[in-house]
Amino acid sequence: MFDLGDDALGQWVGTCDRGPQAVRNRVGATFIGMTVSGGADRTSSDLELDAFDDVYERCFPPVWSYAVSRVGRQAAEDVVSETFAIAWRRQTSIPVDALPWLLCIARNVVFDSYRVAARQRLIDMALRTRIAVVRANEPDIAESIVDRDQALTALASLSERDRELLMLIAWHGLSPRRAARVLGCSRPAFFVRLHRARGRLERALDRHAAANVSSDPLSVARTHNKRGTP
Amino acid sequence: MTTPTDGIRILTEARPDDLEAPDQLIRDRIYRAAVAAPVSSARRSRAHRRRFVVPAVATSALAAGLVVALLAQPLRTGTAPAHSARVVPAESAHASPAVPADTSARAVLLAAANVVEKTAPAAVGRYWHTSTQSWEAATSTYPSQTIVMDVWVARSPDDQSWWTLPIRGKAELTPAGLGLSDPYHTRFDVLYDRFLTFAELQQLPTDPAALEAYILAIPPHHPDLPVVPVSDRLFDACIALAETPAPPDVRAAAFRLLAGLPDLTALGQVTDALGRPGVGVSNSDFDGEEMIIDPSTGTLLALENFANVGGKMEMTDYQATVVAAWTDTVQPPAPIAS
Repeated sequence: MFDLGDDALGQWVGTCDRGPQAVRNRVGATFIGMTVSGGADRTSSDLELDAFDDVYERCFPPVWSYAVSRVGRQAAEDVVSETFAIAWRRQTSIPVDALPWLLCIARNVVFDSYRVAARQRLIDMALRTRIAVVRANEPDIAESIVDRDQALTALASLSERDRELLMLIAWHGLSPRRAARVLGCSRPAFFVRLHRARGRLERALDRHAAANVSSDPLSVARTHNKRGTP
Repeated sequence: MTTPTDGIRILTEARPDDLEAPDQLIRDRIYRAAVAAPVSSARRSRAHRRRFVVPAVATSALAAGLVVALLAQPLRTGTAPAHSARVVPAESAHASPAVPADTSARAVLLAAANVVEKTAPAAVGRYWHTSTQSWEAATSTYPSQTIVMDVWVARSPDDQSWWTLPIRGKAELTPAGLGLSDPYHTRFDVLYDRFLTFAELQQLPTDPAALEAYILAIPPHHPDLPVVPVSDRLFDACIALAETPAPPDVRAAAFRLLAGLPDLTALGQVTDALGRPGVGVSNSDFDGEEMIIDPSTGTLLALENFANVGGKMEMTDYQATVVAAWTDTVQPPAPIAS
């Protein structure tokens, strides 16, 4: 129905609410000036596949990066697979703005699949890898690298709740309105949490910048920092 | 350090490269695994939207916080009892003289536009003060809570803006915009994170088509994210505009723009979570946001979010506007009953 080449995708996503997804969403409900009833014939498997494909194409990259940020690259495939499998099973419920809904599912998959300690271990491993990569790939003289290293180290020292919130804004680029949808909270509550999480992040950054002595929970990062400090 | 640390900016710049999507092989493998799963047989039994579920949720929300009852009373005289059933079926809404006979979403929004347009612009003050009460259901990570938040956005961007931060049952007055990149509560965050000053709000288009073009021209705020669907961008921008001190003809244009959107569902005459009567419009038949408008003033009373929880539509959170007015003074808020 829609041949989504890379070039076509950019144009397509802008009008996707007029696509098959929207057609299906309209079935059986009362909308502006019209009532559509029944509609079993409209939800053919072809139509469903097209709509799901569209969501998959649009939302795979951000769902993937969310999963990587929560559980690391190794475990991300399982989380993303399960997320889209759930989305497939619940495809008639996929909202037009599918991303916050999908991230909410991915979030629950992470909670259901990994206990706190396991999540912490996965994240620590992922952050260790990142800090190591930053150090290996980029000369240690540039000031921005120090920022990057310190930012990841400071992030690693925060609670999982703080990290998740900050990453939704800073790494996944969600607006507070949509990030609040992912977390299932109101926008004012989101602002309160963001304010507090940001305060703790900035205090951690200031601590590292002032002392350049790590107080983070990652032993690898601590070793690196000590080595780099005269 | 002489400048404040801007944690969000530093963190954004530290975004790791390994968040990028993997190669096509993995994408295809995940796709095949997903669509191989049997589609739930329950998928055709559409979760019945709100009208059966909401009263119970709203009641428990009310029971959860004394604040609700305390706040609801002084708001308006003659409101419906706070515990009344929230939703009157749309079919019977015409029985009420307060609601126009045509209760379609389009008619409701066009009526609101007409009311707003006739409103005289409010005499400006130093701050645009909003007081909102929000509530959210418990989730896997956070307990249920009710928050009352006041925000004073300074009319002049050079002036200090303020907001209240609820801390242990008290609301603490806090200067807004401490980080370099933190525009929250110092600007009007309308139009999907396009932060505008009061002066900029006055320059917005007053024609619905021009307003639509303006909104849709705003680029996505992160390059790695998919573009938000058109109708959602417009819905979000318009409800955000309705909460700002934009000129009456701009807010009227926002309502007219909303009226032309597809997929809007009229919910008929409803009462919001604080028990105030209004008319409801939802942007989705499924998970989604609904707005409750006071038809007599064309103002936004509340936004309520719903999600499918175990096959039932349940309210996950609401945000109700209690005050939206100009003022010259920032007042430390009263202690919150908890």
